[in-house]
Amino acid sequence: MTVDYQNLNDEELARESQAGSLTAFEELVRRFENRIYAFLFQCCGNATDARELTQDTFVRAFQALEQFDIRRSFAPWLFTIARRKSIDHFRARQPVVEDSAPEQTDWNDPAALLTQREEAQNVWSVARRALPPGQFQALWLQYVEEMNVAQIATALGKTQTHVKVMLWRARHILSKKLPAPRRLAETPAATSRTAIIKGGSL
Amino acid sequence: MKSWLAKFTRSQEDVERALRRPAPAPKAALELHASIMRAVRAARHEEQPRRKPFSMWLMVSGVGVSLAAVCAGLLLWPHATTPPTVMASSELAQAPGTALDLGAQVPGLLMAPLSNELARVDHDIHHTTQVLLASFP
Repeated sequence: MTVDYQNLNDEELARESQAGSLTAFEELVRRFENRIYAFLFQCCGNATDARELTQDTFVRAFQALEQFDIRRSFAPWLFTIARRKSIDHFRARQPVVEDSAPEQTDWNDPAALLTQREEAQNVWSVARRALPPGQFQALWLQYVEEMNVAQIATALGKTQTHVKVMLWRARHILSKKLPAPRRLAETPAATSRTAIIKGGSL
Repeated sequence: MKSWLAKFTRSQEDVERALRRPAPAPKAALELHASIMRAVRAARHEEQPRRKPFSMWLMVSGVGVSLAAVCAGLLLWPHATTPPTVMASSELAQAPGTALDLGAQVPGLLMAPLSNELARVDHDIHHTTQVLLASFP
């Protein structure tokens, strides 16, 4: 009897893999390779390292598969390995210290305005530069991977309370860093017009 | 105070909205899947020879432990394993005589029926003894 691996969920595939099925593990690789790659690409910032780390993550997952508890979710377990791999990677290599001081925006410069708008469109590039790695990873796992707090806590090896604090701080920092779309509209003229309308003078 | 709260709420909503937008998904190269599976298969091949000596070690140590347990059992309970003492053939030959002596000591009236029985038993035992002695090499 042949097993249709595409119809199995992640945990069932993990169980099949534990029993020795390489086909089941290949299906898991197919499901997660792009997600793990995107996560690691955001963490390390370059495609070559992300590819290498993705491969290392799956090899490690395969070797440690017997330790996986099939009553738990597979995704947080795999992301835990990916996160540890990225930590090892950065520990082995001296991180390139970038000057992360925010540049003052010249609101009269169209190029600066354009950059700000592009950044607003890609909130993740702002987050990567503005947030510590842990906060960035927590945000990514919540909004992109759609994990709940308990799963993020498992993946990051933190308590749920710690994760909630990290998420709140990350959002708070981002709210300051992101150029608010409404702020551009709130020119002094627009503000005074709003006040006049509210006051009922017109 | 209200304006501050409104501003804060609005900024949080903006961030939430921005984060909910689809994230840029850098697609992994097509050969990534193949290279992952190659690495996994290589890891599997490396793992298999490693498991063989482990099982061998497990088997050898198991045999060793069981041998040690048997030795310990022999040393601690020597009587449990010794064979039961076999009655010597001379003792077997004495048994009918003992029964006859007992019959002669007890008064005949009381012991007559019993002595007859004993004589029969004695006769049987004597025959059995003869058969047993004859069967020994």
